[in-house]
Amino acid sequence: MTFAAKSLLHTNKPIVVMEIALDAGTLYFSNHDAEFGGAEVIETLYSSIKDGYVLYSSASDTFAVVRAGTTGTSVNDSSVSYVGGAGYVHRDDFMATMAIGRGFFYFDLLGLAADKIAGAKLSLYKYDHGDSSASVQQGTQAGTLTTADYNNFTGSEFGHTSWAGSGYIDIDFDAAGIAYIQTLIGSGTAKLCAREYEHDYSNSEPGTPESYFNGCFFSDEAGTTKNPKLTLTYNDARFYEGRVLSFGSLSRSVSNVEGDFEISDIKTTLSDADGYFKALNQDLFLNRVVTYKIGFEDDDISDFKTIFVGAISDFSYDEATFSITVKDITSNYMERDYGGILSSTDFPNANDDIINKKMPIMYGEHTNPTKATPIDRIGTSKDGNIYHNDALWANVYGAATGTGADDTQTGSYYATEAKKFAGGNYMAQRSFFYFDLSGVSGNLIATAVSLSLFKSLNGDSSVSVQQGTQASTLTTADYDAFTGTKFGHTSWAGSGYIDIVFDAAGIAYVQALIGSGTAKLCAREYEHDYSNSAPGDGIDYSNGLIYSEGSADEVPLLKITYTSGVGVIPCYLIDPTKDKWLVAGHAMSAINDVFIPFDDAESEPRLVDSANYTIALTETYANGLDADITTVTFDADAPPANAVVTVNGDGITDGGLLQNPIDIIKHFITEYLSMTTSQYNATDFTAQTTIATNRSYIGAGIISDFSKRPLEHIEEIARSFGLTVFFDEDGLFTLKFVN
Amino acid sequence: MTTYSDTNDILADSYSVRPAIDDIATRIYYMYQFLYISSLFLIEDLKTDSTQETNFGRTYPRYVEMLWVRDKTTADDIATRILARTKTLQLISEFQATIAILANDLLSEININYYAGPVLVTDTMTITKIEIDLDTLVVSIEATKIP
Repeated sequence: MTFAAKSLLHTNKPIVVMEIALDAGTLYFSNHDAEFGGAEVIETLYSSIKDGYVLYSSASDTFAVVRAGTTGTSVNDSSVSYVGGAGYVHRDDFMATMAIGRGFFYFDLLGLAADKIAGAKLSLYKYDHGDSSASVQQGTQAGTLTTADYNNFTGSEFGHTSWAGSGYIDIDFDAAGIAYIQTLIGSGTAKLCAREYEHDYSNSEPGTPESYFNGCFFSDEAGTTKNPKLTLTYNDARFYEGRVLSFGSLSRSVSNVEGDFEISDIKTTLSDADGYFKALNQDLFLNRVVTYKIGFEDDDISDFKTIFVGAISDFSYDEATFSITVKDITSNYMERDYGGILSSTDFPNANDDIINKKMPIMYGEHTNPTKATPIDRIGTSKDGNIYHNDALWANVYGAATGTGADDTQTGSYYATEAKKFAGGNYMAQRSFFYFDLSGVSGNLIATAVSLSLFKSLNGDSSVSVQQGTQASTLTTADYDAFTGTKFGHTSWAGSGYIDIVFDAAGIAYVQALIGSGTAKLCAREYEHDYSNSAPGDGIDYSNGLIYSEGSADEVPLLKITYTSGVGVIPCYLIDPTKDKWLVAGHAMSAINDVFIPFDDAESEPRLVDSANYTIALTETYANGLDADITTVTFDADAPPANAVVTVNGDGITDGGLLQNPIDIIKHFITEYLSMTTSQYNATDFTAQTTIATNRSYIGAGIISDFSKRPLEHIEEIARSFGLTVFFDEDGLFTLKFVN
Repeated sequence: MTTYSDTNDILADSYSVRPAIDDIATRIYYMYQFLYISSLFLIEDLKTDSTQETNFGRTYPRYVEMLWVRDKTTADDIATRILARTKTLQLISEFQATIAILANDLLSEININYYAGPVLVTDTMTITKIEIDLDTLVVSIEATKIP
């Protein structure tokens, strides 16, 4: 009958008991002396292979002489079975032989707890004959059987039974037999002797000829299915001493929305008029586990219901009482130290603020959106234009040298132009620009580039841009100082700044010069000059712009776009000499992006080219979880030591990336707090894992604030998902979704 | 689910009900995608029940920091569930019972039969508090009515 049903219907008095688990054993208390029955526990032991038999056979001795003999004529401790192994008496008329055989068995009881047994029986597997009955009694044989053990037994039989059956035949022990076994539990070896009962044990001479064989198997038989065995029955009944004057009260509560729980302390007062507690070593009490149970007067103690499991957090005593304060058991689990520590021995070059720091613990997938961030480089004042004037378009288009050059324009100018004067010459005008990129971080990755020119005057057609090869100071000789195909072109119909977006070749050209050189660009009228199409007579295709000598908000710009952003996971510089940064104190499944400041430590973070660092997802380090940590080592483009380095990546795996929030909590409490299924409610965890899976809940986070108790981290996770965590009535850590 | 009765398992004159006004929330402000380097949430969102706000005549905000949530699907679902649970006035029952009630633990769901005036009412409740006087074996229970 379960507690639930019984507590409703039962009329007997309810009882509260408490158990204090000390290192040296458990103390049992109630509010009055009481013993409660317990559950039956069965222990099965097998005889050692030293078992066997000793026999006395004589062609001249009488039954009385043979039975009372002190030394046998033969011994065997290596047979698998024997026809008279459980004892026999044989009288052979033809050979005038009188023989008696006795079996001897050994059962090691050293490894058993010293509980009180309620029953014992010897079971021998029948072999061949079963002519009478077999008895068992205490043996006194040597550790190794010899013929001198023939009469090494003592006292009366513990029991006997007919050997008429098959398979295992049980001989149940009487009280004396149980007492004999009890004395040896936890301390010695039970020795037993089996004898033929009706004639040998009972001293009744057989007729002539008569044989009474009772066969059995011994422990030399392979396996244990036929081995001699001793079965012990326990009853874990317990006596509870009536020292409790007041149990006190208990309060446990959870929030149905916030995820936190509260458990009160229990203050229990026990009688100590005899000084029992004061005589004990006081150190034995602190932090020892106390269990409170409730049941009924006539219950087995196994039917009592556990209502609270805590640990002694304080105690006090006076002349007649001893009081203990029992705190919820969270303190035993949730205040454990956790996480690995970076040691100065292992990282002698690390800064002091890193040493003895705990290593972050990361779960789940961490990504953070990046953004395209432009930087603008202003053209140098050497920019300007060159034109060529000729009667033939072919000469204008293909000329090597210009007719004139001007790099001093301060305002707007018809900077790219293709024109035919009415009835006169053709003319083309080209602009050349310089952008110093040496000051840009050499490891910036350009994802987009455009030349941005401020339109001033006409916008008659389009403007193209391509690589320039002009000298550092423009001369007419630079009229054809360009190479390759255009990087891009665009209509000059708009107003203000007009961007000419570069193609991949243009981006590559600029990328190659970032951090080291000057980008030279040539802008040309597109439809006629670049495309080699002579303008019609009297038509002018001019596209005006402003050079770098113009006002600051109109100057030519080279716009370089790169990827910026910040990783979710901050890193710690653990070895400046190797530019090695710690990501996590355990193995991770992936690092996807690494971010460092753009220039100095204070500047905006940017994505690092993956070619510039090496990831070690499982670097061996004894202080890490499972002796692994995760690091990033910069091979190039290393940030300054005081930089903020962040990464995105995937955390701990356990049969796949841990993302289910319940699995994350379970991993943390088992791997970092060393909690076992005897300390958390595995059934509840499994059920809630299923709920989280069905709801497609994904968790990700970092445990890096080690000033927090472990429970605070767990509650942070719980609150994130609408979970409530608490310790159940059995003291097991558990959790449930409340929504 | 076990049913307990105020004429049998609940101690006489111990049953009471009060509204959980502090738990009302008609507007869930929730934040997720925590950025550790700046200690800021990158995303803030909102779930509202305007009907209930009209009924109550005011808004009841609740701020939920989802430190361990980074994806919208999870965050939205959690916020929706919180709103569904808290947008109506929840009732908290308090009563004293025999030890029979200890067959349940925190967050167990139970049915309570009780008379609200002349009417027999059965409510399903979640146990949120258990207090036991271990000397008298009187058990005090606090439970929230499941909407």
